[in-house]
Amino acid sequence: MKLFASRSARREATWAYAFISPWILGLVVFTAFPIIASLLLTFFSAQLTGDSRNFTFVGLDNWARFFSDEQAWAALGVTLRFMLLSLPVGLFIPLMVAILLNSKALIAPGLFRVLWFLPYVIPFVAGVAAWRGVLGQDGPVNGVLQLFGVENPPFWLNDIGWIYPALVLMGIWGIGSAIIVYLAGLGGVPTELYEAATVDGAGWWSSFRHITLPMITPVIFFNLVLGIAGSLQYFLVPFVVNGGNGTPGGSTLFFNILQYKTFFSYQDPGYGSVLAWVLFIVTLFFSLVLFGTQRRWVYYAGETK
Amino acid sequence: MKVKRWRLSTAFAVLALIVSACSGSAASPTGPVAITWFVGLGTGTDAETQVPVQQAIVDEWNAAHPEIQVTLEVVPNDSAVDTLLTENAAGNPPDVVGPAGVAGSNGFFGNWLDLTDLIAESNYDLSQFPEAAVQSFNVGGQGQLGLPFATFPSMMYFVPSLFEEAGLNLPPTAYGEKYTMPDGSQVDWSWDTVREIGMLLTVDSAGKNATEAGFKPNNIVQYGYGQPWNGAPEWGSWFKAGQFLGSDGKTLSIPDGWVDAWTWTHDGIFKDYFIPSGDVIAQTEWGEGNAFPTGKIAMGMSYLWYTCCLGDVLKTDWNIAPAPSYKGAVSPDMNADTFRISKGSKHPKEAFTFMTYLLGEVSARLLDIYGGMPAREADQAAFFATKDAQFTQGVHWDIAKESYTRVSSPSAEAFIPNYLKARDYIFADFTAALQKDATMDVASYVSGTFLPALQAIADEKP
Repeated sequence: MKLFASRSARREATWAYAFISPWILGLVVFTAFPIIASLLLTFFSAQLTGDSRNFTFVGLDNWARFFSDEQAWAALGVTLRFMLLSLPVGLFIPLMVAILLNSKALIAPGLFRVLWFLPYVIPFVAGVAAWRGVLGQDGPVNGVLQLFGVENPPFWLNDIGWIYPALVLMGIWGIGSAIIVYLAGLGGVPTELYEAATVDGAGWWSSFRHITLPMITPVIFFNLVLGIAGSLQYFLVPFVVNGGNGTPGGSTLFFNILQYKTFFSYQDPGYGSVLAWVLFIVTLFFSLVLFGTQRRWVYYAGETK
Repeated sequence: MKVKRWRLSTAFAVLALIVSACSGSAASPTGPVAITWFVGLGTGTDAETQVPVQQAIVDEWNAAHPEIQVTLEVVPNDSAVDTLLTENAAGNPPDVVGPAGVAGSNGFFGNWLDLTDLIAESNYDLSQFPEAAVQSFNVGGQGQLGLPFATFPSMMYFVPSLFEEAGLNLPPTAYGEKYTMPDGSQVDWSWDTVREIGMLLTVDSAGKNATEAGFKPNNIVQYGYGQPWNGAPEWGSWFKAGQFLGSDGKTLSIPDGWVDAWTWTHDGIFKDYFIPSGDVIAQTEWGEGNAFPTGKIAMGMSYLWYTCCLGDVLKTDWNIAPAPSYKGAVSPDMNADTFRISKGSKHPKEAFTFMTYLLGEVSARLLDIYGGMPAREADQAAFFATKDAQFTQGVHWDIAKESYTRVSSPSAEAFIPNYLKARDYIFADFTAALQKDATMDVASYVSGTFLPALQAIADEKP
């Protein structure tokens, strides 16, 4: 074994580091540094502007404040409620669509794949702005409902009872990427399994339940992890819909919006950092639970147990 | 050896690049000074009517003053606060900021430059403005933070045709005048009177008004009164001027008369039915928050700037009346916009020179696009002549001028610690709840929920 690399190998390594240094620099400056800085900020009271500009060590005060902050807990509740509602929809609708798109009976599947994926490539802000019109009081959705005899169609974006369904509906706009992932998973299921099942007299449902579903559990797991993280970090849609003001009745004051407002709008980076870390801890908790339980329900072909 | 020299040269080049990148855009001692004019905290962001005029003014200035080059930075109102906060926090604040009102500037408490020295150095003539107007920008402990520019007194907007249709007399045309009720009795033009005639002007789909038996509050097609684009502090101030913050600078309390004002509004929505609820005014049919211009709201209290937004439906079918009285006294709150200089400006002198240009030579052009009444009394006649050309129905502008002379103080937008969060809570939570929660007992909600929550927010930033 050579303890010291040759001169040319060292030179090669130097060049390699030189080439990846922009990425390392970016990682350090834009990711690692903010992570560490935000953790340190949680122990400081920081006023970044004005006469009272200061930077004072306050120990665990900011963390203690979180536990008595009703608004923060309410925002966490809003976020978790929305996650419970949006996650099943965001998980199973793409799966259903992917199964349909994967069907051999479908004419022009390529066209439909493009159509389903198309909204995903449109800037989401523009999409949400369009959805505001679609779900508006005089929007086409309510127009259709009135055609079917609904006299007082929902006031989607201003009614506490309808705002979450409205947000979930808007979320369907962005399921294109999940569909693609499911399609990849469905395409990876060995056809001989289906052939064997057909020979054994299995119908569509049996094949789906006993072959398709188990074989794509890694993909479901992947989408579930991303879905939970995405729901917990939900920000863009409510921010575009009502400027993040929480209307109606605080129902859209999601945790990430409160965190953003605390950090930037209210210029309270110390407590804003606590909220960011709380969100990280909650996300980590759900991720650990998922990774801890995956051995029970996620099937990896080729895995030896 | 060659490699070492090459590495050394590269290191120097990188260092030079970093140094030059970090050195900012400070002008050389002999070159032109670059300053920025930030617009977005208040009016001034309309791309069609306002931005081109402001840009033309900047272009003219730059052409005439090569030594001070101004860049106009227009930020949409929704994101202006965050943008300015970030620029301040980064130590790169714009030099001149405005137009911005009291609320817009209170969010940046401590960030504005005291102009006292610059005014003295340049012998700027303050006598051109009313003394009280100059003093209104002298903020305790912080100095002279601005100079009078655009004023927006408040008054009652009304739709004459709806009064005529209901067989009601029009509101008074001057402060102190009585209102003649349908039975011929002469009464004070008070908030009680507004409630009474508001109910007569509120009509359901069957044509019954809100005082008649069989009136259906679920089928209202016209309301007597609406609150366009304002919230609980304004509603309170129009009853009696006051502010939450006490003299110790820490303790908050509810000003006298404000609970009465909020109860008046809440009852008007859920008991007397002459004011549309939050759910109603959010609807497209009712203007999505700006219901008055739909032509289905008979009265609405607002500021002079509201002439900006009366839409196409009313055309000339609107006029103004005095602010109603509460317990015999009127309290016309006023909005006042002006320009301020950031305390962190690297070129305060040049910024002041440019700011006085905005306040002076080109002020008429700016006031025209902002819709603000000139603080300089000498300019007011020309301003209202422009308004008369724009609104030909013969608006009683003397009422606006008199509201200005009777302006109440402190402002409805007065300072509260942790201002931006406090205002967020007051508007997004409390004001919304007043307009939506039919079961609210206003007095107990205010003392048991609203005030403690507001105090807690203020205490976060002592």
